[in-house]
Amino acid sequence: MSVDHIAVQHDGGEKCLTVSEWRALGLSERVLCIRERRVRFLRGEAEVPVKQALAWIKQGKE
Amino acid sequence: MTLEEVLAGADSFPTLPEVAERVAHKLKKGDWEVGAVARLIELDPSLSARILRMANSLLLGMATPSRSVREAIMRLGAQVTRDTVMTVSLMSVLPTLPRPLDVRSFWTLGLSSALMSRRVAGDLKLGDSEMAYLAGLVHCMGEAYLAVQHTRGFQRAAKRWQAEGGDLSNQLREEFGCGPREVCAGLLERWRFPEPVVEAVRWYGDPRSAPNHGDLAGVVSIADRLCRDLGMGLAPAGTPEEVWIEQAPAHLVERLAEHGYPDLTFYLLELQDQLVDIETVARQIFAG
Repeated sequence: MSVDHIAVQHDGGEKCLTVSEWRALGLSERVLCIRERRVRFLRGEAEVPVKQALAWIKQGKE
Repeated sequence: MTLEEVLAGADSFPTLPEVAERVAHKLKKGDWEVGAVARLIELDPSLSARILRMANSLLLGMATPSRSVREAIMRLGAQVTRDTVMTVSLMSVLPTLPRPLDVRSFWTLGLSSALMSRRVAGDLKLGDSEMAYLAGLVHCMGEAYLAVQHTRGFQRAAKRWQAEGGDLSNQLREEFGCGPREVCAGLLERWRFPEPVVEAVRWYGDPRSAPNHGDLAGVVSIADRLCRDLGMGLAPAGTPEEVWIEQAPAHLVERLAEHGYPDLTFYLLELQDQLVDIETVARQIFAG
């Protein structure tokens, strides 16, 4: 199992990032997205619960 | 003012209920006889009611509510019982706070920081997660002390801070000649809190300068900043939002990365959902 990408709502649309691309965003931008609840984890079309997604990422399965 | 002058009124500041101190002492000695601990807690009806409310809250994840203190503490176990007793006792010490502080927001930050400190200490394999919980819980008591004991000076400093933004600690230092972290440490020394906790609250603004417990101070620093990034604590209206976690100690952030957390924003994502539960708990504890 893995997280395919992190979907971030941006300028009215949604852009999809890998974990590495997410980390390459500026810290301020990441924090702002989280505060405004504009971040979702996806596997295919399905949304993965945050806790599950982070557990996979922690295990290096992103 | 000197720190001694600021703390001169500490004797008239509310202290921890005796029951809380006796329970903490008993559990610290490893004396975990459920009936005796329950009887001790039940000596204070208000404390008992609040402990039951917290034990039955969503935060501790009990499927069916406990009907008695004895049942609750059997299910919580020794460490969580001690943390719970200390949490609700400290909350009882400060039932109200002068403006611009608000008691529910104040304790939501304290409780959130406590839980986050315990979590970070666990992830960093620091060992004493209980000290981390306690340090997170009380790390803002300096602001509360100044607000209660020196209300006019506190409100002058807060007004300047709300107009100018920046760090409230700096305005309080300018007003009183000593900062809220030193005041907090001084107060906890008078309350005979464990020395690592006193040092952590004194140095969490600059953990690398802490003489003996820099890691614990760093844990509190990370927890405080994560919670503030999620909107807890006071913030001056109309000033640009600060990215608090930029100020987290870099060496501990690197260590967290080695333990499977590539950056602190993943913590923020996890904590965001817990926040709702913590606010519910604070509301329940202060109800009635």
